[in-house]
Amino acid sequence: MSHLGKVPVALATAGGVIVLLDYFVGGSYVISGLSNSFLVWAAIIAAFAMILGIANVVAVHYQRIVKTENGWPYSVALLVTMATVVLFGILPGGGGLNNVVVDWIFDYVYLPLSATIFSLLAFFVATAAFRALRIRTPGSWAMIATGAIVLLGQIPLALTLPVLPDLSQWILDVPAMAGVRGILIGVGLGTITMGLRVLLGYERPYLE
Amino acid sequence: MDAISGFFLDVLYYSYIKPHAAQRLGLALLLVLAVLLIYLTRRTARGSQPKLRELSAVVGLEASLGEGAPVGAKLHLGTGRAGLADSHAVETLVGIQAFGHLIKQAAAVGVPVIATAGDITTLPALENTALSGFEDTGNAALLRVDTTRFVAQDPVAYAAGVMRILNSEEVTTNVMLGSFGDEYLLMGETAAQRGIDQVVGSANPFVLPFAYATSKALLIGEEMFALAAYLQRRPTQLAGVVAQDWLRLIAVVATVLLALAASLGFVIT
Repeated sequence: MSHLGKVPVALATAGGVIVLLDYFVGGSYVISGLSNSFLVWAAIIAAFAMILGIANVVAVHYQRIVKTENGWPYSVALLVTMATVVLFGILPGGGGLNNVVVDWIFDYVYLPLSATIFSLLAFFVATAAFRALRIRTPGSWAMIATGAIVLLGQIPLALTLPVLPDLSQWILDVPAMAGVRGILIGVGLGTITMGLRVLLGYERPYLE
Repeated sequence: MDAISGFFLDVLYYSYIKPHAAQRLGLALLLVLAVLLIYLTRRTARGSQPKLRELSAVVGLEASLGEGAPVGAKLHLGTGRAGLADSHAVETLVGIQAFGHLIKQAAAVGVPVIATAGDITTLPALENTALSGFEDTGNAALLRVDTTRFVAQDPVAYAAGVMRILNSEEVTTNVMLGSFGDEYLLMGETAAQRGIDQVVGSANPFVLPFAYATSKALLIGEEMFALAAYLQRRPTQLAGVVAQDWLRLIAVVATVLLALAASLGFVIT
């Protein structure tokens, strides 16, 4: 790597080390001040990324409309809605996020649609469980069996059965908790390793 | 000059005198890990390649995207709901890293790619990765305006957008690597119902059962962090996998010893 190419790596490493030091040695005026500045700058740059996101959305959907690809009317609806929300949101004296039109679209269009899509989860869980039964591996049988026991252990009728509520709770408290903690520990270790590789300059995602 | 000397004095004072024991221990452990990683990277670069166990996800991906990729294949890559400026940034980063290799493979055999981002901070990194992948294979002409797409900042809206892509854009392989929540099942089940080959990697233990039921191959937790090493085989990545193995071994031994100590009545504070 040329000397000029090492500058971004040095800057990234220095920035990361300062923020990390602030976490471990917090209290230093200089380190905290620098760290807070970096975090504020990152937030500002992330906000600018929103402009890039809007440009990407417009470009993708405009192309679909011009080429009358499958679903192009929905792209028209998306662009019109986006333009409406943006325009009414930035109107001087319009109230910004509390603008009447923006509020209406959010409360009576976005929220109901979001709830509708999310409500599909209930049916998708059922079809996914049925698909897991068809896989017929030991893992899928174990998953369905434990899921059934835990589900049945939640219903009021289970209180009349001698073993089910206790078994259900034991499954949640012991093997399930052990599995979750094991996965989280592994993820934590992977996160630390990846973070160190970025800090040490071995991984340079900002240059690729 | 005063600011520079003040900075170093601050580091010396606050790193040794001010923090309490847990912070000192954490910092010391991190320094030890850094030294370990440097040593393992140099050892791997000198030719000491670790033996990696087979990952079914890697086998599945190579079959879908290699020279034997079916005619009319199309690849969707999803990075999930997190960005590069939040607590799940590392999961998104490892996903983008793996996607770089997959995009190059797809571009080399002429397989169209759709890469979707569920966070605005992910989009620039994804666009850069796609551009590099297509340029490196000399197929920059295959890069389209809609190859990388910012779908939505909201997780449910992101899932709805990806569902539309899976339903109507003839995707044959779906790879989801990143941070997902409950909304994963909306996308995963859609792909499963359409018979799309799926490879999913998630560090969220509550998503894994859904991913197991709907995907052809699953990367559980830290396997996601190791995927790039399997695909690209760079010394730094292989060293990272070995370092994770060592750390895991230390964590297991420490957990067992501490559990034994607690069971025998020793109080550890």
